[in-house]
Amino acid sequence: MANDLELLIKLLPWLVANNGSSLSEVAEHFGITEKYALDLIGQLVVTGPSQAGGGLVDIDFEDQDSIFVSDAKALDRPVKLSEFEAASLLGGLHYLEQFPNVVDSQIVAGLIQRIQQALPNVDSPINVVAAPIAENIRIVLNEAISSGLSVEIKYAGITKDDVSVRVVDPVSTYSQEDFMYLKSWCRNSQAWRNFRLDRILEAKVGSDSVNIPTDEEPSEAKREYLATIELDKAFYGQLDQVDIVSFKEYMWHAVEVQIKVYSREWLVSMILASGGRVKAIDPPDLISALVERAKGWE
Amino acid sequence: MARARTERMLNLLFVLLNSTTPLTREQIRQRVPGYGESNDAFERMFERDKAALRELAIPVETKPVDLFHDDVLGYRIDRSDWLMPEISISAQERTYLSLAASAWQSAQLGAAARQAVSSVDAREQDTALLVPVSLAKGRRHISEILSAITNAKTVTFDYVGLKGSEVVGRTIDPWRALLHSGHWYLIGFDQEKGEVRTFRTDRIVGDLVETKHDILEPMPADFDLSTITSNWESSDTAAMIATLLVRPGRAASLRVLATSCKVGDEWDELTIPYHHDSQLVGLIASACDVTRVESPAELHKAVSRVVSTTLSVHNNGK
Repeated sequence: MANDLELLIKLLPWLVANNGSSLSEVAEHFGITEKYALDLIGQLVVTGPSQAGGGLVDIDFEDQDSIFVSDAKALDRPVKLSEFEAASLLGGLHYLEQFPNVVDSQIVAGLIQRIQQALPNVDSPINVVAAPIAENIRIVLNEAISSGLSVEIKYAGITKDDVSVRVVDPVSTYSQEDFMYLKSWCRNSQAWRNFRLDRILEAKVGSDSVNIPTDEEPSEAKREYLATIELDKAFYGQLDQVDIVSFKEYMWHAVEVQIKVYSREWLVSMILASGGRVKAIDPPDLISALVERAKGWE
Repeated sequence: MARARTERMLNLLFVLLNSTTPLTREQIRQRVPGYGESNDAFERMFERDKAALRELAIPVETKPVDLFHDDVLGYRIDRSDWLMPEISISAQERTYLSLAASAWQSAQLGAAARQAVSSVDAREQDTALLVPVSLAKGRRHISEILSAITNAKTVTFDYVGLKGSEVVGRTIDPWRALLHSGHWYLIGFDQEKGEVRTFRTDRIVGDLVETKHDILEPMPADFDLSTITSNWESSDTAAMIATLLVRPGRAASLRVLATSCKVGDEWDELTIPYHHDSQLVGLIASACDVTRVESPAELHKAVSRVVSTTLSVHNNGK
């Protein structure tokens, strides 16, 4: 019901901040039709206190390609952040702050400080603790990236849980959740690979320049191993890490889920770690791989 | 809303916002067009409009008009209460704000953060993404937790502890959300236990519900999160040392935890400090074909239990 008014409260400060915008830009920003945008601006034009301190909101929009506001009747600033909005934004900034390799954390710290000074009551209830990365690894990778050289890494793999030595052509680093990754061309596997920095055990800059086949597009690793597992509802959280294909509820507490994962080895590890709370149903090779690994315990 | 009412409310808003002193009802009636002739109609309409403004979180103050007439109430909106203070921001900083907002891979949090960015700086800007960053991708409960914290409401959920598989209902005053080592945690005051507790969000079963109840125990102003994280690493038990044998090149997840690694021909010997069996049992079970526990014996037993349970659940593969 209050939609028009809510929009008008957002619209006027936006027009002030973006003086000279066109009707189509207004429509696009607010996700409304141009006709509706015109109608709203029309409402602003005829509004304004009628007496003492009066005068209408002063908008010039004869030309729909450039709308100018010269008097917004004190509604010239956006409404204050709600606590939820502030928490989301500050949470995002605190997150960026954790990754000095990815962003300039001084700029981020300055922003957080200024927002909190301006809004002393807002706070972010989110804390992020990034996985620690050894300083020597960080230095070697930075050096290799900036000088365009290959790098040799000893890597503690996640899906296969093995240690391998690889020569990679590093491109950039990025962050996901509280981990930082190295995007690079892996010469050993002749494919694009992302390595988690906190799992690189050793790194040294190579002597030859980066050499990446131009026709190879970086592609996300695919979850291609299809399996069916049964788990207690209490272990739903495990499913955050997999693609769910289909879902079947049995009794009040058990579910059967068809999932896609990166590899069978990874799934076997996940099932073993669950200590019997996750049961492999299909395919048979999953069950035999699982049993074989379990029997490898003394 | 009917156009006439929207216009009237917008005028009411401007009148209240532009006045430096509280305005009496009579003054408001004179200045805002559309309140009609009859006193009754004005009273009714004004009450409704005032309530509708407050519903939009617009802080309409009610105050005595002056010191000498504290029985005559007036109304106004204090600009500094309602509108965003000016924060001067460079183009580069604006890009960082957009980046911080885009990090949320959650619809609700992402939308809130983007709205926040345009409140801090309403200037339109191409959101040129500098670098890929992503936060809370596909994680459950995060925006519910954040919402409950900002609304200061108690939450309830079913939870599986680290030790057993028993599901227990919890009633928690939420204080903080923490992302640590790949897991999200809720930190809050457990009303039943009467103390601060930490919960891993992926062990929450089903929904996390924000109740209508205000929290009983607000977070102390001097609350220091690092006391919790360091506590839960060193907890009630003293640090223990596990000595493990692992096959060369294998059990990478255990190797990254090791403080020392003695390389051998058939086995490498790892030394890993830990506080609870639960920190290592899953990892060792995952790599049980290439790992042996030298000591302590309890850790060995715990892994054996997990492995044999898995075998029996799968009927030993028969």
